[in-house]
Amino acid sequence: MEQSKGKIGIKEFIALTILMTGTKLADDTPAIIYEELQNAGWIAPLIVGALSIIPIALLIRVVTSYQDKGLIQVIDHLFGRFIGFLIIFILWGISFFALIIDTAIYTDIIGTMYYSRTPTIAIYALLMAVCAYGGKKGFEQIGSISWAVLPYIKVSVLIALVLSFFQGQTSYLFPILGPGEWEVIKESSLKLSIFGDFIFIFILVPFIKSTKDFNRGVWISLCIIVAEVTLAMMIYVVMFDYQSVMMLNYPYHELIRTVQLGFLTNMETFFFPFWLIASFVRFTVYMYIAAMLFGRLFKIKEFEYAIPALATLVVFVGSIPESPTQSIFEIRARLIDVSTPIYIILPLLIWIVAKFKGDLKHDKAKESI
Amino acid sequence: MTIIIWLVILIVNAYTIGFSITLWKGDSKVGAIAMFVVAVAIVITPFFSVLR
Repeated sequence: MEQSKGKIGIKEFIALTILMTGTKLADDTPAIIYEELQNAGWIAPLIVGALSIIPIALLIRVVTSYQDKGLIQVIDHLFGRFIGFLIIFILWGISFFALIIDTAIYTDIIGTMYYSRTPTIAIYALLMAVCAYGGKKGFEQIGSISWAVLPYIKVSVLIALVLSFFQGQTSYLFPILGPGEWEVIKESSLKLSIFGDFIFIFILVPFIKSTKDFNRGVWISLCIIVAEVTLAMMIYVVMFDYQSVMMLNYPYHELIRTVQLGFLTNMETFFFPFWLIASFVRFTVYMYIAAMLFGRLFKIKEFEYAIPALATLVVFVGSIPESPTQSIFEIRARLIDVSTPIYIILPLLIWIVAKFKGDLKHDKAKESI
Repeated sequence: MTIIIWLVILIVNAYTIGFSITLWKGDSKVGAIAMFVVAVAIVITPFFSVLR
């Protein structure tokens, strides 16, 4: 039997990437986008997806030029010890901060929408305990579980969206361009980092069986994620109209509480478990990446052992905001604004340095000729 | 609930400091210091959140 040596194939990688980024359609990301773009908010994922092609293509060009090297090793190689440390520290800061903010939001969703009588700390601790356990199991297991649960999660989301579509009003989508085409392009560009997870995916290159699988996997995932987030955001408007979506912090959860299937009401009891599993997988990957960066920064080879400690810290720091529904929403919107320039500049910087060093594949080929 | 939180803090702290000692003995001094800082943070941060 062929040994995988802890590496995952293309289908597991696509599943993992889709669960990591696609789950954003079910948190407060749509509300952040609709706040500025009104009923044209659903166009934003299309523009963000199109613009994301540039940083992703640049990173693929550089990272695949090195054999078995992920983004961390490439940054080390290109920028040296000190600047490399600084860049990885910034990446770790963003990933750890995003993990804290996002887990606090998901805890708030579970607490306010489903388990209002359960103490927040108990929900938060349970969420992070599951993620820490998953993260400590290793990357291959995370990939396998992602592939195993993906079909069920996506089918449940599709059912929710289709049911909502037939209960909504398509006329709510008009005027299509909402506040105007320039406003849509400008605001979408400023929210580019909603797909910023793609930078962190490049850290995982050494865990993918081949760079060809990685290359194909990234593009397929991007297309699927853009399509599903756009569709979901369009259906939120069709279902609630944009003014309501602007006020709803968690439109997906309002949607699954509203939809009905014939005589069946309280449909959220069917959709909620699938969303919960997707959230566990998402934060398990986040946790693993944050621990990996932490391990690289402080020279901890067996970084998986740091996961329980980091997960505990996430719970205690994430519980600091007193009214998470409002405060975390604001913090997350600012985090998206701050990380957007990094999402654009870092891949460009990496590509320029690699080009000057003559490390890119076609440069090497030219030299050999 | 406070007792459970303190119990979790104690267990995770013992684990983190243990890992920190292992790293120190394994010649990863920077890692050991980083883990020790995390252990200290685990004791301090609850006073601003869950034990407020």
